[in-house]
Amino acid sequence: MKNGFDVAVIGGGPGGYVAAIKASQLGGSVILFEKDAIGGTCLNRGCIPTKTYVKIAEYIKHIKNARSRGIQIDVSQPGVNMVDVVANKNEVVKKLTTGVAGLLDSNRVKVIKGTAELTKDGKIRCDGQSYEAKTIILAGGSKPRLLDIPGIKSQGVLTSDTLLDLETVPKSLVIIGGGVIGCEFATAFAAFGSAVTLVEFTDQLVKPMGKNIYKVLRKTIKAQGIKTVLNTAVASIERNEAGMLVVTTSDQKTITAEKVLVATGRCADLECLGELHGAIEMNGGFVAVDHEMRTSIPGVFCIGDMNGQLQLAHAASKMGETAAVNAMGGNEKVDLRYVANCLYTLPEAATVGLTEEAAKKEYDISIGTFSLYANGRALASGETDGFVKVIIDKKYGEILGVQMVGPVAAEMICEAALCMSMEITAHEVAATVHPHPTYCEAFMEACADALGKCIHLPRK
Amino acid sequence: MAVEVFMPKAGMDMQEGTIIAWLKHVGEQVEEGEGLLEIETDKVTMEVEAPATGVLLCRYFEDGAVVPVVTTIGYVGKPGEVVPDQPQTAGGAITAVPEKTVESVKTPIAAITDEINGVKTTPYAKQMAAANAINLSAVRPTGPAGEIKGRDVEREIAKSPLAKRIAEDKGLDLSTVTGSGHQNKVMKSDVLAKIANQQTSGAVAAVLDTTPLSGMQKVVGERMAKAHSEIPCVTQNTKVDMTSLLAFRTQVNENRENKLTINDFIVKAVAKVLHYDKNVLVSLGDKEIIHHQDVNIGIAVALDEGLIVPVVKNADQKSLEEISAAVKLLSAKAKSGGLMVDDYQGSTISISNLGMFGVHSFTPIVNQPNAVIIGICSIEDELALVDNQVENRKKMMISLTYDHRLVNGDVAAKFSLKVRDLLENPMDILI
Repeated sequence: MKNGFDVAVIGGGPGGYVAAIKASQLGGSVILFEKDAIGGTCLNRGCIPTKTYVKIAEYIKHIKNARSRGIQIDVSQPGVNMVDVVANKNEVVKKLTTGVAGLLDSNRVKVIKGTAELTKDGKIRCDGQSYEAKTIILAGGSKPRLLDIPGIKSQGVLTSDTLLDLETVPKSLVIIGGGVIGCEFATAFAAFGSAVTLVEFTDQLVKPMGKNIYKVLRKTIKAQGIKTVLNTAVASIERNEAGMLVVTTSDQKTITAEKVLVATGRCADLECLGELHGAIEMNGGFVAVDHEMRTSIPGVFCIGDMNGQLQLAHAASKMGETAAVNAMGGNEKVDLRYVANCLYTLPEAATVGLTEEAAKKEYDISIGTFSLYANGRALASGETDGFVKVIIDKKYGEILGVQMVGPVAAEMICEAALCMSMEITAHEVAATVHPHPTYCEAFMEACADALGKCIHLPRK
Repeated sequence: MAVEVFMPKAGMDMQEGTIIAWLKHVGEQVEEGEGLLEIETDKVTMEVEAPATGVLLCRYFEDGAVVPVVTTIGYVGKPGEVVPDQPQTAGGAITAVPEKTVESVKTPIAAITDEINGVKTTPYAKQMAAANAINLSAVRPTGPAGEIKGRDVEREIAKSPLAKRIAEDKGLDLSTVTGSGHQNKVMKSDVLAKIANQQTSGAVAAVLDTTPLSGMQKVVGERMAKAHSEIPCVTQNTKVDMTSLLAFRTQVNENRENKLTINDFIVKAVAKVLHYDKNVLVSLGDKEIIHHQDVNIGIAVALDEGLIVPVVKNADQKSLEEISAAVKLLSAKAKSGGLMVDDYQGSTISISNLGMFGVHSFTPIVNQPNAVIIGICSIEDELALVDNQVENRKKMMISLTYDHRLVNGDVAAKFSLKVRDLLENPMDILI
């Protein structure tokens, strides 16, 4: 038995590895268990790989639009060599995971490759060995959730994990689930040449991002040749004699495709709970935690996708830092109010803070919007689909929520998130000189609009 | 061109300021906005900043001088520029200008700043730091001699822009708030918690809503405050037996279409007393007491947005019916906003009737320039021994407030008794 660790972290994703480094920075001796690859879903099967794909989709879009910008180019139908695409993706992933491994190493975090599980006596078992630590941080992450649909295990029905290793572009692809994962894969594979159909259960894509964002996305998604079927559940999937998958919807219509991607959310990977299954308090399918990331078992913390608070890599990292501080004797709380949501489609979309509906319930609000049609950089770039919408408290100008669509919305949202967490109000944003021409000016203008003093909008 | 340095007017009521210490000697280079000297008013200590970049050309007053506001106290300009020999004042005499030796003019900054833990600090900065519990050794000095200035201390009270806005709105002193942000930066939640704490601890009452003062409310408020603070007032309560008057009134009203109110009888009774006794119909002039001839009785009328006191002119020459009609008309005009200036000016005495509200007694505020106001209270049942029999009598208090500069207690009491006697013998009111 190996003793003497202050903190044991199970899971090496963006929650777990950050927790391990933080605990080490605070002077703790740290051990980290990872059953797959360091970097977790985010680096290996999620955020990063999909962004390499979306970037390629963006190149393709630009190549297709090249002639309209005066570029003489002789590519009528740009395509991809999927083997190279996957190799490129793997190279990116490898660079990042190697980097993280290096960081763990430099922080003297002991990394054990293997599946770790908790035992009844509060220890950790991995590959027959037993490990002991004063505190344990569970960062088991999540895995694609498979709905209970007949035929969901058919050959050719993929998850985000398996689709990323596909070395040929499917001629047709049905994506079940019009959330962030579904929309990003749709963007990539539509550009790669697949005929993509998004099947969504609710009345709009990326429902949590709100109607305004969807209004723009509906148009841009359609322009990319992606078909959208809303208000529709999938009743069954069958593989026919020709080897094609026939997706039958709840209204008895059928869609035939070469591949089906199931993107109906992610559920907690609870494998690391081991013998504490049933003993630890749960909240739905997730491990229940308080604001300090403590579970019902003293000394055991749980962070990231596994606790279901907010399934985002950056949220997991924040939770990881806090859990590490608390594992090392602190009493910090995680504040997830200003965690931004980003959608990497073409264009991107991002939100932070309250929706208009939620803000209205608590505050007397004012709304400012600025369309990218009035933004110089967007016009010069031929990227005018999008807007920035700012919801403020009328009284003090507090920025309550920001929603945006645009070519670099996921970058632009950072300014809003920073302002909100540092309590910079619309008054200060409107007074801050923003470089021209930038997309970010739209945020400043929207803030000014919310205050009724936008220079670049017609007088109301 | 040389630019004047003024003694600033740092508040509406600031008349003069004291120069605590010059921070620059004559000939020394100054940057625009840099602290030039420190002054003190009766309320604050503050820095006077250089109005321009240049050298300090002259100082007309030295440390300790008391100088009227907006007086030129020095000049900043190019070296060698000619400036007046004498300071220019914007009116007002200059008092106590202590003489200073040539040496003191060249006093280095280090000598006029305090050293705290080896850190040089201006007095103003020191005072601010003490008020905000800021450790001066942690403050980054920006003074030219390495001293900590007021602006350096102010910078140390870290607060988010939102916290600042809320605190300003709620009038909360941020130096009393412990911040929860990075390095104790004061955040919104800290400000809200402090406000909530003050509300629960009763230091600040919870505000439900605010309504702006109407023009009338402002005027009434100012007049009330003036009267209340200026007049040495006394309120005397005299009890009146109204039993007979009530019976008399019932009798008189029996066949009348326009019923007479108790108030009408009271106004008439007061008018009748005043017809013969004008000792209380006085006002205070600049150097004299003004005795009034006319019995002009102001009747206080409550309105939603304030209070107005229309006047029944020459009430002593009016019949009870005429008084009743006049009061009714004035009251209606007051409530509809139809009073003319003449309707509410020229009163020589006033009546305020709270009888309908169950008021036992009160202390009405004199309606200046009147000397007396008569407060009418509720009629209450009271058991009294009359001819060895217990009887139910209807009693009412007259609460009379007078300006003791104009009226003495005996005069006021005699007047109250005359009114009482008349009300207790109602037939006499009419005779």
